[in-house]
Amino acid sequence: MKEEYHDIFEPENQSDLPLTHNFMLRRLKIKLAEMRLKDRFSESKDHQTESYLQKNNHKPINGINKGE
Amino acid sequence: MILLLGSSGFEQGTDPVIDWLLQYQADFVKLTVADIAKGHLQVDLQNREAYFKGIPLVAKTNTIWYRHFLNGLSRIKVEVKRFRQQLNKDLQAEVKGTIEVLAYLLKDKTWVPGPITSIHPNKLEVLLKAQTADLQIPSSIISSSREEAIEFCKASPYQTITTKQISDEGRNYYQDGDYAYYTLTKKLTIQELEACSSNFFPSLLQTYVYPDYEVRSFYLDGQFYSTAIVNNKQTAYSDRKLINDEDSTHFLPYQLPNAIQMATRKLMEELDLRAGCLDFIRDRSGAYYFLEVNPIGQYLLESRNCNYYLEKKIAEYLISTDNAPSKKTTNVLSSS
Repeated sequence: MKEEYHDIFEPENQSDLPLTHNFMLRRLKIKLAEMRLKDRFSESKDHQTESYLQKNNHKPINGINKGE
Repeated sequence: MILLLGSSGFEQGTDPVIDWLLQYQADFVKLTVADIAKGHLQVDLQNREAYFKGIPLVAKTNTIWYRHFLNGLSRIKVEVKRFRQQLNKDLQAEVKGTIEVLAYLLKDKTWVPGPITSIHPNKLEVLLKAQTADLQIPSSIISSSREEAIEFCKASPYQTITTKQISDEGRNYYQDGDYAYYTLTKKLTIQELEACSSNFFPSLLQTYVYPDYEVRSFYLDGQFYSTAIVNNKQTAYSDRKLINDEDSTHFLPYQLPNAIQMATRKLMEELDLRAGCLDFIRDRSGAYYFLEVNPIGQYLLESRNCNYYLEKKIAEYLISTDNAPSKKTTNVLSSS
């Protein structure tokens, strides 16, 4: 995952924040949901590609997606 | 009976263990904060008993498995037109008070990973205890001064430091439209520090340990199930979570040196923990640095990549400590 950092707070608040909060990572909420919810696993094309399944020793749920 | 203190929804570290408890027909019950808020728990102080759906928990429980239980507190909310914030705070406090007396009534049972007071140890206190147990730790300061941070950075190997949150309590994503924002461990150079404000909120700063590889070890009652996380690219990343999904990252079964295992056992005893996920970095000189322990950390990624079947081992451990007669049925899985 790329280390892309975002400023989500106003510049004038920088001194009010810990250093960690000056460097916020961003993810698409749908991607987080795919990672966190079991029932989204089967809907995630990324998690059904041949290379992902081979690397992670999983069996395909909905058939192999030749995307990667 | 095993009492499972867990969360209401699917939890990736809990549900696979429940699958095995069901397979072994173990005597267990799962209690969540939502159950308490809905009035399914009755506490009888006179008789020092608590009843969950009619089951006497003090009389019947031998082993308690705690897993992401208190997270449910923040979800206790009622929709009222006025005074919502204060009311919800009051309701959460009421449930917390009930949980505290329940924990007191059950204090003599076997708690896994440890008593409720051990579940969220202070990270910095743990570092100090690790050092006492002869584990090497990164040099650390808490500072709110850019100048102090720069001096600390200049004195650090590789002239690089890291910053991470002191506490994970209540930590969550910042949600904004389609995106969610969060913090991880961040590597900082002198140049990046010079661009920060001259003062900032008190922040934890640590010397950067340049990893040869990282080791994540699942500890269960003296046993270690360790995984080396090796990245082929050998780039100096700041947080392992950033490289977990890369094809160049490999998860390998690993054995920590005996000296590290002995020191870690000493640490876990000091922390009153019989289980947890421990993070180490092996640096380029071969030295091991202890980073942190998470008593209720996630273990599935490493377990699945190394075929440890930790969810099965946890279930078997809970059953063995429960002292209940095993109702195991014979099947091909039980022999693996």
